[in-house]
Amino acid sequence: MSRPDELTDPNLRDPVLARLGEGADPSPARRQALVDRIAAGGAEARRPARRRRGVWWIGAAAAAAAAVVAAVLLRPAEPDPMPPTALFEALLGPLPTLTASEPVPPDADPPDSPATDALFVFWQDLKEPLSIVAQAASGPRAFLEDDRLENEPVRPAPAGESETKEN
Amino acid sequence: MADAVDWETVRLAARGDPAARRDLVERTIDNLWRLAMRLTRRADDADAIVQETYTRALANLEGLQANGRFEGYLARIATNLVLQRWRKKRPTGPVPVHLADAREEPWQQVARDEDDRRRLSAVWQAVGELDPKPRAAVLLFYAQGESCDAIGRILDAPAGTVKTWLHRSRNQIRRRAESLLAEHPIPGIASHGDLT
Repeated sequence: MSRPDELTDPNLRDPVLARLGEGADPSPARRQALVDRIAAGGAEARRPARRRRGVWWIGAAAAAAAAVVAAVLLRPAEPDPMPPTALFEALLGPLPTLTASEPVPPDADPPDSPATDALFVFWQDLKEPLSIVAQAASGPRAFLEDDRLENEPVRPAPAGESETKEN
Repeated sequence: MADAVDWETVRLAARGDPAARRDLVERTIDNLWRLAMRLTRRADDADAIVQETYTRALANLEGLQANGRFEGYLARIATNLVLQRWRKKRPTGPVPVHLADAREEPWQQVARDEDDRRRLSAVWQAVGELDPKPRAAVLLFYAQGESCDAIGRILDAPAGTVKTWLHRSRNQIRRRAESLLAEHPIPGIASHGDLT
Protein backbone atom coordinates (compact mmCIF):
# COMPACT_ATOMS: atom_id res chain seq x y z
CA MET A 1 0.00 0.00 0.00
CA SER A 2 1.46 3.37 -1.03
CA ARG A 3 1.94 6.03 1.56
CA PRO A 4 -0.48 8.96 1.44
CA ASP A 5 0.56 11.94 -0.62
CA GLU A 6 -1.00 15.19 -1.65
CA LEU A 7 -3.01 13.51 -4.38
CA THR A 8 -4.87 11.32 -1.94
CA ASP A 9 -4.90 13.57 1.13
CA PRO A 10 -5.79 17.25 0.65
CA ASN A 11 -4.08 18.05 3.94
CA LEU A 12 -0.74 17.12 2.40
CA ARG A 13 -0.96 19.53 -0.49
CA ASP A 14 1.92 21.87 -0.99
CA PRO A 15 1.35 24.76 1.41
CA VAL A 16 2.86 27.41 -0.87
CA LEU A 17 0.94 26.33 -3.94
CA ALA A 18 -2.21 25.94 -1.85
CA ARG A 19 -2.00 29.67 -1.19
CA LEU A 20 -2.85 30.25 -4.86
CA GLY A 21 -6.46 29.99 -3.76
CA GLU A 22 -6.31 32.84 -1.29
CA GLY A 23 -7.85 36.21 -1.91
CA ALA A 24 -10.45 35.15 -4.45
CA ASP A 25 -13.76 35.92 -2.78
CA PRO A 26 -16.18 38.34 -4.39
CA SER A 27 -17.29 41.35 -2.42
CA PRO A 28 -20.99 41.26 -1.40
CA ALA A 29 -21.82 44.20 -3.66
CA ARG A 30 -20.11 42.63 -6.67
CA ARG A 31 -21.77 39.30 -6.01
CA GLN A 32 -25.25 40.83 -5.74
CA ALA A 33 -24.79 42.89 -8.90
CA LEU A 34 -23.70 39.78 -10.79
CA VAL A 35 -26.63 37.71 -9.54
CA ASP A 36 -29.07 40.43 -10.53
CA ARG A 37 -27.52 40.70 -13.99
CA ILE A 38 -27.77 36.97 -14.57
CA ALA A 39 -31.28 36.74 -13.15
CA ALA A 40 -32.39 39.67 -15.31
CA GLY A 41 -32.50 37.27 -18.21
CA GLY A 42 -29.04 37.30 -19.64
CA ALA A 43 -29.49 33.79 -20.94
CA GLU A 44 -32.90 34.42 -22.46
CA ALA A 45 -31.72 37.66 -24.03
CA ARG A 46 -28.85 35.91 -25.75
CA ARG A 47 -30.81 33.09 -27.35
CA PRO A 48 -32.34 35.11 -30.21
CA ALA A 49 -29.01 36.84 -30.77
CA ARG A 50 -27.37 33.47 -31.30
CA ARG A 51 -30.04 32.52 -33.83
CA ARG A 52 -29.61 35.83 -35.62
CA ARG A 53 -25.89 35.33 -35.69
CA GLY A 54 -26.37 31.97 -37.39
CA VAL A 55 -28.64 33.49 -40.04
CA TRP A 56 -26.12 36.24 -40.63
CA TRP A 57 -23.36 33.71 -41.29
CA ILE A 58 -25.54 31.75 -43.72
CA GLY A 59 -26.48 34.93 -45.58
CA ALA A 60 -22.88 36.08 -45.79
CA ALA A 61 -21.73 32.71 -47.11
CA ALA A 62 -24.49 32.69 -49.76
CA ALA A 63 -23.64 36.24 -50.86
CA ALA A 64 -19.96 35.38 -51.17
CA ALA A 65 -20.73 32.30 -53.26
CA ALA A 66 -23.03 34.34 -55.54
CA ALA A 67 -20.33 36.98 -56.00
CA VAL A 68 -17.79 34.34 -57.02
CA VAL A 69 -20.18 32.77 -59.56
CA ALA A 70 -21.04 36.19 -61.03
CA ALA A 71 -17.38 37.11 -61.33
CA VAL A 72 -16.67 33.88 -63.21
CA LEU A 73 -19.63 34.23 -65.57
CA LEU A 74 -19.25 37.95 -66.32
CA ARG A 75 -15.52 38.13 -66.79
CA PRO A 76 -14.49 39.59 -70.22
CA ALA A 77 -13.51 37.11 -72.92
CA GLU A 78 -9.80 36.86 -73.56
CA PRO A 79 -8.72 38.30 -76.99
CA ASP A 80 -7.74 35.82 -79.71
CA PRO A 81 -4.03 35.52 -80.36
CA MET A 82 -2.84 37.80 -83.21
CA PRO A 83 -2.40 35.94 -86.54
CA PRO A 84 1.11 35.99 -88.07
CA THR A 85 0.15 38.30 -90.93
CA ALA A 86 -1.37 40.86 -88.61
CA LEU A 87 1.70 40.68 -86.43
CA PHE A 88 3.92 41.20 -89.48
CA GLU A 89 1.85 44.17 -90.61
CA ALA A 90 1.89 45.63 -87.17
CA LEU A 91 5.68 45.54 -87.22
CA LEU A 92 6.40 46.52 -90.84
CA GLY A 93 3.30 48.33 -92.03
CA PRO A 94 0.76 47.22 -94.66
CA LEU A 95 2.08 44.58 -96.98
CA PRO A 96 1.41 44.31 -100.74
CA THR A 97 -0.71 41.36 -101.69
CA LEU A 98 -0.80 39.27 -104.84
CA THR A 99 -3.86 39.56 -107.05
CA ALA A 100 -5.04 37.25 -109.80
CA SER A 101 -4.14 39.80 -112.54
CA GLU A 102 -0.49 40.00 -111.58
CA PRO A 103 1.74 37.60 -113.50
CA VAL A 104 3.58 35.03 -111.54
CA PRO A 105 7.11 34.29 -112.75
CA PRO A 106 7.34 30.78 -114.09
CA ASP A 107 10.44 30.00 -112.11
CA ALA A 108 9.08 31.30 -108.88
CA ASP A 109 8.46 28.88 -106.11
CA PRO A 110 4.90 28.78 -104.84
CA PRO A 111 4.57 30.94 -101.73
CA ASP A 112 4.09 29.13 -98.49
CA SER A 113 2.30 31.76 -96.53
CA PRO A 114 1.20 35.38 -96.77
CA ALA A 115 4.42 36.46 -95.14
CA THR A 116 6.69 34.58 -97.56
CA ASP A 117 4.40 35.73 -100.38
CA ALA A 118 5.03 39.33 -99.47
CA LEU A 119 8.76 38.73 -99.22
CA PHE A 120 8.72 37.11 -102.67
CA VAL A 121 7.03 40.14 -104.25
CA PHE A 122 9.45 42.41 -102.48
CA TRP A 123 12.35 40.40 -103.92
CA GLN A 124 10.92 40.51 -107.43
CA ASP A 125 10.60 44.28 -107.21
CA LEU A 126 14.16 44.53 -106.05
CA LYS A 127 15.78 42.25 -108.62
CA GLU A 128 15.53 44.65 -111.57
CA PRO A 129 17.14 47.65 -109.87
CA LEU A 130 19.86 45.38 -108.62
CA SER A 131 20.62 44.13 -112.11
CA ILE A 132 20.90 47.71 -113.39
CA VAL A 133 23.33 48.51 -110.66
CA ALA A 134 25.30 45.41 -111.49
CA GLN A 135 25.54 46.39 -115.16
CA ALA A 136 26.68 49.88 -114.25
CA ALA A 137 29.34 48.44 -112.07
CA SER A 138 30.59 46.14 -114.79
CA GLY A 139 31.63 49.10 -117.10
CA PRO A 140 34.23 50.65 -114.90
CA ARG A 141 35.44 47.21 -114.07
CA ALA A 142 36.04 46.41 -117.81
CA PHE A 143 37.75 49.73 -118.20
CA LEU A 144 40.02 48.95 -115.31
CA GLU A 145 40.79 45.57 -116.79
CA ASP A 146 41.70 47.19 -120.12
CA ASP A 147 43.82 49.75 -118.40
CA ARG A 148 45.59 47.01 -116.60
CA LEU A 149 46.35 45.33 -119.98
CA GLU A 150 47.82 48.55 -121.37
CA ASN A 151 50.10 48.94 -118.43
CA GLU A 152 51.59 45.51 -118.81
CA PRO A 153 55.43 45.59 -119.22
CA VAL A 154 56.69 45.74 -122.80
CA ARG A 155 58.02 42.45 -124.03
CA PRO A 156 61.75 42.49 -125.11
CA ALA A 157 62.48 42.74 -128.85
CA PRO A 158 63.54 39.59 -130.79
CA ALA A 159 67.26 38.91 -131.17
CA GLY A 160 68.97 40.85 -134.02
CA GLU A 161 66.53 43.69 -133.87
CA SER A 162 67.41 46.95 -132.19
CA GLU A 163 66.19 50.49 -132.00
CA THR A 164 69.33 51.66 -133.75
CA LYS A 165 68.60 49.34 -136.66
CA GLU A 166 65.13 50.67 -136.82
CA ASN A 167 66.38 54.19 -136.64
CA MET B 1 -20.24 27.00 1.40
CA ALA B 2 -23.61 26.61 -0.29
CA ASP B 3 -25.31 23.24 -0.48
CA ALA B 4 -24.82 21.19 -3.60
CA VAL B 5 -27.45 21.68 -6.28
CA ASP B 6 -29.98 18.84 -6.56
CA TRP B 7 -31.09 17.69 -9.97
CA GLU B 8 -34.75 18.40 -9.20
CA THR B 9 -33.88 22.10 -9.07
CA VAL B 10 -32.06 21.73 -12.37
CA ARG B 11 -35.13 20.06 -13.89
CA LEU B 12 -37.39 22.89 -12.75
CA ALA B 13 -34.95 25.48 -14.06
CA ALA B 14 -34.86 23.70 -17.40
CA ARG B 15 -38.65 24.16 -17.63
CA GLY B 16 -38.16 27.91 -17.21
CA ASP B 17 -39.08 28.25 -13.50
CA PRO B 18 -37.54 31.66 -12.56
CA ALA B 19 -37.28 30.77 -8.85
CA ALA B 20 -35.39 27.59 -9.65
CA ARG B 21 -33.07 29.47 -11.99
CA ARG B 22 -32.30 32.05 -9.35
CA ASP B 23 -31.76 29.31 -6.77
CA LEU B 24 -29.26 27.61 -9.11
CA VAL B 25 -27.32 30.83 -9.48
CA GLU B 26 -27.40 31.69 -5.76
CA ARG B 27 -26.09 28.29 -4.76
CA THR B 28 -23.27 28.07 -7.26
CA ILE B 29 -22.08 31.57 -7.94
CA ASP B 30 -19.60 31.88 -5.05
CA ASN B 31 -17.61 28.80 -5.97
CA LEU B 32 -17.81 29.59 -9.67
CA TRP B 33 -16.61 33.16 -9.15
CA ARG B 34 -13.66 31.92 -7.06
CA LEU B 35 -12.71 29.53 -9.84
CA ALA B 36 -12.94 32.27 -12.45
CA MET B 37 -10.96 34.65 -10.26
CA ARG B 38 -8.21 32.08 -9.64
CA LEU B 39 -7.94 31.36 -13.35
CA THR B 40 -8.10 34.94 -14.61
CA ARG B 41 -6.76 36.86 -11.55
CA ARG B 42 -8.88 39.88 -12.51
CA ALA B 43 -12.26 40.63 -10.92
CA ASP B 44 -13.71 42.10 -14.10
CA ASP B 45 -12.57 39.10 -16.13
CA ALA B 46 -14.05 36.80 -13.50
CA ASP B 47 -17.38 38.63 -13.79
CA ALA B 48 -17.37 38.20 -17.56
CA ILE B 49 -16.51 34.49 -17.33
CA VAL B 50 -19.20 33.85 -14.72
CA GLN B 51 -21.88 35.63 -16.70
CA GLU B 52 -20.99 33.85 -19.93
CA THR B 53 -20.89 30.53 -18.09
CA TYR B 54 -24.42 30.96 -16.75
CA THR B 55 -25.61 32.15 -20.13
CA ARG B 56 -24.42 28.95 -21.76
CA ALA B 57 -25.39 26.65 -18.92
CA LEU B 58 -28.94 27.92 -18.53
CA ALA B 59 -29.50 27.87 -22.28
CA ASN B 60 -28.67 24.17 -22.46
CA LEU B 61 -30.32 22.79 -19.33
CA GLU B 62 -32.91 20.80 -21.29
CA GLY B 63 -30.38 18.39 -22.76
CA LEU B 64 -28.33 18.02 -19.57
CA GLN B 65 -27.91 14.47 -18.23
CA ALA B 66 -28.55 14.10 -14.50
CA ASN B 67 -25.23 12.56 -13.52
CA GLY B 68 -22.32 13.92 -11.56
CA ARG B 69 -22.37 17.35 -9.96
CA PHE B 70 -24.00 20.39 -11.50
CA GLU B 71 -21.08 22.43 -10.17
CA GLY B 72 -18.72 20.30 -12.25
CA TYR B 73 -20.80 21.15 -15.33
CA LEU B 74 -20.39 24.86 -14.58
CA ALA B 75 -16.67 24.46 -13.84
CA ARG B 76 -16.16 22.73 -17.17
CA ILE B 77 -17.84 25.55 -19.10
CA ALA B 78 -15.94 28.25 -17.21
CA THR B 79 -12.56 26.53 -17.56
CA ASN B 80 -13.04 26.05 -21.28
CA LEU B 81 -13.91 29.73 -21.67
CA VAL B 82 -10.70 30.66 -19.84
CA LEU B 83 -8.65 28.20 -21.90
CA GLN B 84 -9.96 29.87 -25.05
CA ARG B 85 -8.79 33.22 -23.70
CA TRP B 86 -5.36 31.87 -22.79
CA ARG B 87 -4.86 30.34 -26.21
CA LYS B 88 -5.80 33.59 -27.90
CA LYS B 89 -3.50 35.68 -25.70
CA ARG B 90 -0.26 33.80 -25.15
CA PRO B 91 2.10 34.24 -23.49
CA THR B 92 0.65 35.92 -20.46
CA GLY B 93 2.24 39.14 -19.45
CA PRO B 94 4.92 38.98 -16.80
CA VAL B 95 3.83 39.67 -13.27
CA PRO B 96 6.04 42.27 -11.59
CA VAL B 97 7.85 40.68 -8.69
CA HIS B 98 7.90 43.88 -6.69
CA LEU B 99 4.19 44.38 -7.30
CA ALA B 100 4.50 48.11 -7.82
CA ASP B 101 1.79 48.01 -10.50
CA ALA B 102 -0.12 44.94 -9.45
CA ARG B 103 -2.69 46.35 -7.10
CA GLU B 104 -5.41 44.17 -8.64
CA GLU B 105 -3.58 40.90 -8.03
CA PRO B 106 -5.44 38.76 -5.48
CA TRP B 107 -2.42 38.04 -3.26
CA GLN B 108 -2.11 41.72 -2.49
CA GLN B 109 -4.90 41.18 0.02
CA VAL B 110 -3.42 38.08 1.63
CA ALA B 111 0.34 38.70 1.69
CA ARG B 112 1.64 39.02 5.22
CA ASP B 113 4.70 41.15 4.46
CA GLU B 114 6.96 42.21 1.61
CA ASP B 115 8.84 38.89 1.45
CA ASP B 116 5.59 36.99 1.38
CA ARG B 117 4.33 39.26 -1.33
CA ARG B 118 7.42 38.69 -3.45
CA ARG B 119 7.21 34.94 -2.96
CA LEU B 120 3.56 34.79 -4.00
CA SER B 121 4.25 37.05 -6.96
CA ALA B 122 7.06 34.77 -8.19
CA VAL B 123 4.88 31.67 -7.82
CA TRP B 124 2.03 33.30 -9.74
CA GLN B 125 4.38 34.35 -12.49
CA ALA B 126 5.72 30.81 -12.78
CA VAL B 127 2.16 29.46 -12.90
CA GLY B 128 1.29 31.97 -15.60
CA GLU B 129 4.08 30.66 -17.82
CA LEU B 130 2.71 27.09 -17.88
CA ASP B 131 0.85 25.73 -20.89
CA PRO B 132 -2.91 26.30 -20.71
CA LYS B 133 -4.13 22.86 -19.62
CA PRO B 134 -1.37 22.16 -17.04
CA ARG B 135 -1.91 25.68 -15.70
CA ALA B 136 -5.62 25.03 -15.32
CA ALA B 137 -4.87 21.69 -13.65
CA VAL B 138 -2.55 23.33 -11.10
CA LEU B 139 -5.10 26.01 -10.25
CA LEU B 140 -7.99 23.56 -10.07
CA PHE B 141 -5.97 21.24 -7.84
CA TYR B 142 -4.18 23.62 -5.51
CA ALA B 143 -6.38 26.71 -5.54
CA GLN B 144 -9.80 25.16 -6.06
CA GLY B 145 -9.17 21.90 -4.21
CA GLU B 146 -10.52 19.63 -6.95
CA SER B 147 -9.49 15.97 -7.19
CA CYS B 148 -7.53 14.56 -10.12
CA ASP B 149 -10.64 12.71 -11.35
CA ALA B 150 -12.73 15.88 -11.25
CA ILE B 151 -10.00 17.83 -13.05
CA GLY B 152 -9.84 15.10 -15.69
CA ARG B 153 -13.58 15.49 -16.31
CA ILE B 154 -13.31 19.27 -16.48
CA LEU B 155 -10.31 19.27 -18.84
CA ASP B 156 -11.43 16.20 -20.78
CA ALA B 157 -8.26 14.26 -19.95
CA PRO B 158 -7.48 10.98 -18.13
CA ALA B 159 -6.65 11.23 -14.42
CA GLY B 160 -3.17 9.87 -15.13
CA THR B 161 -2.50 12.73 -17.51
CA VAL B 162 -3.66 15.18 -14.85
CA LYS B 163 -1.20 13.66 -12.35
CA THR B 164 1.61 13.99 -14.88
CA TRP B 165 0.71 17.62 -15.50
CA LEU B 166 0.71 18.33 -11.77
CA HIS B 167 4.04 16.60 -11.19
CA ARG B 168 5.84 18.36 -14.03
CA SER B 169 4.20 21.69 -13.36
CA ARG B 170 5.15 21.72 -9.70
CA ASN B 171 8.81 21.14 -10.52
CA GLN B 172 8.66 23.77 -13.24
CA ILE B 173 7.04 26.28 -10.89
CA ARG B 174 9.66 25.63 -8.22
CA ARG B 175 12.60 26.08 -10.59
CA ARG B 176 11.15 29.20 -12.18
CA ALA B 177 10.18 30.80 -8.89
CA GLU B 178 13.62 30.08 -7.44
CA SER B 179 15.28 31.69 -10.43
CA LEU B 180 13.06 34.75 -10.00
CA LEU B 181 13.98 34.98 -6.36
CA ALA B 182 17.56 33.75 -6.69
CA GLU B 183 18.75 35.79 -3.77
CA HIS B 184 15.81 34.73 -1.64
CA PRO B 185 15.00 31.03 -2.21
CA ILE B 186 11.54 29.79 -1.48
CA PRO B 187 11.85 27.11 1.20
CA GLY B 188 8.16 26.34 1.36
CA ILE B 189 7.73 24.56 -1.98
CA ALA B 190 8.20 20.84 -1.51
CA SER B 191 10.54 19.00 -3.84
CA HIS B 192 9.30 15.42 -3.39
CA GLY B 193 8.44 13.72 -6.63
CA ASP B 194 5.85 11.16 -5.66
CA LEU B 195 2.88 12.77 -7.43
CA THR B 196 2.71 10.03 -9.99
